[in-house]
Amino acid sequence: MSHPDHIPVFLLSGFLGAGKTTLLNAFLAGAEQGRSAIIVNEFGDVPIDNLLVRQGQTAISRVSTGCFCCSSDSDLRSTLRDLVAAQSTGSSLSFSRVIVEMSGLGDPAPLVSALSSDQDATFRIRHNNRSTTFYLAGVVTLFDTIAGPSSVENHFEALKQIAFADRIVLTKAGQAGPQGAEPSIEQLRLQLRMLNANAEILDDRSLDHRELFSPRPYIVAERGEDVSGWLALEAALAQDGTGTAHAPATGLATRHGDGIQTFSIVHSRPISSRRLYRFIELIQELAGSRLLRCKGIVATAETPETPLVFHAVQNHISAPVRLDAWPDTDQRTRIVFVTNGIDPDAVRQMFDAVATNAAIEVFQKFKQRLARVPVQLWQWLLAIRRQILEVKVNSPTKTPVTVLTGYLGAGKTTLLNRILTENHGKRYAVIVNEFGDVGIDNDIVVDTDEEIFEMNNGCICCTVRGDLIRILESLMKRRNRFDAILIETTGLADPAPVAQTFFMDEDVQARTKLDSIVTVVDAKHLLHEIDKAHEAQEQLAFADTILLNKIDLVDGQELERVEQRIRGINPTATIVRSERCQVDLAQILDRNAFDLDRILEIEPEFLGHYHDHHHDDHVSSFSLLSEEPLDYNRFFPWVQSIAQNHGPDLLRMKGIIAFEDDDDRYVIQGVHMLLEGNHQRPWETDERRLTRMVFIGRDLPRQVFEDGFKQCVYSAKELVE
Amino acid sequence: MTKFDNPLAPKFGRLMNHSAQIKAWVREARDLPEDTPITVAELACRDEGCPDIETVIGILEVDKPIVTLRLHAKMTELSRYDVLAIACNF
Repeated sequence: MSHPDHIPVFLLSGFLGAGKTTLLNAFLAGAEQGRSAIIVNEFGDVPIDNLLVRQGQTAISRVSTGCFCCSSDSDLRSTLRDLVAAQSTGSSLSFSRVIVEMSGLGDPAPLVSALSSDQDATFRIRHNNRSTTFYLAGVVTLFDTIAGPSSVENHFEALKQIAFADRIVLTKAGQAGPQGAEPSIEQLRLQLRMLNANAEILDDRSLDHRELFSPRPYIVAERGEDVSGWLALEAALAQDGTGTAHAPATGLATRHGDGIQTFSIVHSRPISSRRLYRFIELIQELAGSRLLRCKGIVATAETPETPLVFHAVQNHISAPVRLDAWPDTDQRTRIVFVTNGIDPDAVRQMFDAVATNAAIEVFQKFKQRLARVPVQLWQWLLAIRRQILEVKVNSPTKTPVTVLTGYLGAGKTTLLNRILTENHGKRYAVIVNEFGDVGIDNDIVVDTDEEIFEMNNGCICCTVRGDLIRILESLMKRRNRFDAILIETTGLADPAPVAQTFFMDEDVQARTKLDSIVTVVDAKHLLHEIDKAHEAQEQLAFADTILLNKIDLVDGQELERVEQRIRGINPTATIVRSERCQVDLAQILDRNAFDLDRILEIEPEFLGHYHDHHHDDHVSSFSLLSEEPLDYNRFFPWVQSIAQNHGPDLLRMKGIIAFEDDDDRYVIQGVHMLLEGNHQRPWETDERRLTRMVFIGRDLPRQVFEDGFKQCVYSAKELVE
Repeated sequence: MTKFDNPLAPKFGRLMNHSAQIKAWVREARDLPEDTPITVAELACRDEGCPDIETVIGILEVDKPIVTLRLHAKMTELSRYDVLAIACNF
């Protein structure tokens, strides 16, 4: 069989969901058989685009789960080599053109640079003494008339795809809004003209697919100055090796925005169509424009042998199509998401709750109790659940930060090295204040000097750590290199500015979350240290978790005394005993212990069992309780005035509040003047509605606090008035 | 059913756009590169006679002391002119 030695390559691009696969299917259905090789480049960890391309007997389909635009041209070259080899050995049919379906987030520049004859960089593949040359014969970009304008506005990749095209196909024009809706097809054409003056603009309703993929000269000079500039940049990057070599092994490339990621849900049991649609509807509603693309092949409970295929782009979903049979042997549900700044775990939880039987199991569990609940309350419970999911979905993935404090010699560095060397599957970036004495074995260690930044004329409540802001800004540019951050403070450091750093600036708050403050203490020397050093007391006061280390150096009675003293300063911290920091790290890390709402989910009795202890400490704590509900009209002004007037001395505050006329537990916490509070969950019917607040601070006037608190009790209202 | 507006609701994201805009204006005014950290926060002003809330901007240039700019208004009330005026003249 004779094979052509010059083969045209067409790039088929289009932002996520523009309809590339649909167009390819239509082309393959009508094209002369046996002439096209299709290379599908999927941005995702579970490739499904190849399942959705019609796999006719004569079309060759190849898939790469790497992203061509990020993984250098070697992926494309090796795929082309495979095709040539397969053709020459007769294991595959002859082809005379190649169509590369690019990933929706693909940047055409590297491939155009590699293939364009203008760049003198055509691909030549030698096989069995025969040379085959591949050359760029056209770039077809699909433009979704519904979601396209927003994609171009928000994603640079979409704009580049338009700019590089020599043919632009308007898709979904038939689904566009009613006549007169903005922008009209004509307006879209004008806008596209501004991005690419010379491309031919076609409409998918009257498209000649064969003509679309007929070879023509692709002339870079006709594509405009931007394209020439991008190609020049590409050439320069390729020359110094920085252009594509940095792509991570996962293929989730750094060319794409920081927040863009892909993840998948694989589920082995069939699910009902109704639940599937409910799930898609919820995720679209909650994620909005940050759901760049979602597509799946689903085993539905009604007819699991004929899978349902769906595509969703932002707020639009194409009509699901039921296939006659599974395209391959894998008959599990597979849904792939491409998102921008969405926590994958939240989406998975939502899938479990909405699309699987998890919700039914919950329902069964509480069936009897819920049977007595009126419809309105049902609706309200669902609304609460939805709000929780909304918060989770709307929270971009935040990097957890653990702060390690502890007085000199308590064992912070020992604990740090354990965390860094133990096999727990997480990579840490480490920020240290005392670099040098003991080696720290880690890829990313940043040494820093404390730089106190007083944002408000010496007010301790508005004091943050400037050095941490600088370092976090720099670390966040390398987010793909670590999963979490550890900050080791000096033995004499004040933890307050460290904690406050994570609440003052919106950007820092958006990208990081304070997971917990862990204070390491030396059981042998603690009592002596806290008598002489205020710093040691304040480090205890701020802790969410206290690692009581070196317990082998004291006897049982002394250990009891040490714990009592710690409880007097901080009654709410979790105390973990250890020798040489040998402790289950799950008790220390990734506990979300700073988040009171979260810790109450894990430990419902948190704040429930403690007694006030009285010592003559600089830092001490006390609690306020009320069996009667509080009046929120009085409580909020009171607690804000407490923070305003006593903020500098109020180190930490935590509480669970029962309000009159409010069915939910309200949880509140504060660091100095920073207060946050929110509803947690409804009070159980048989739960004691007890308000509990714990204050930790320096010489706080307990009586003043207590008097003000009493005025907030609802029944006190009439007495006062 | 909850009947009050929660004054202590977590503020995450509420001022994100305003904060980003203010940072962009400061960069423009002082011709700062993208990698210079800038922090913006709304704080309760403790000075007599001042509005309740002020916006405090910190500019953390490499090897330089932190520059603090204070504007006696909420982030949402600030205009480009306000920010440029103080950032250029500091």
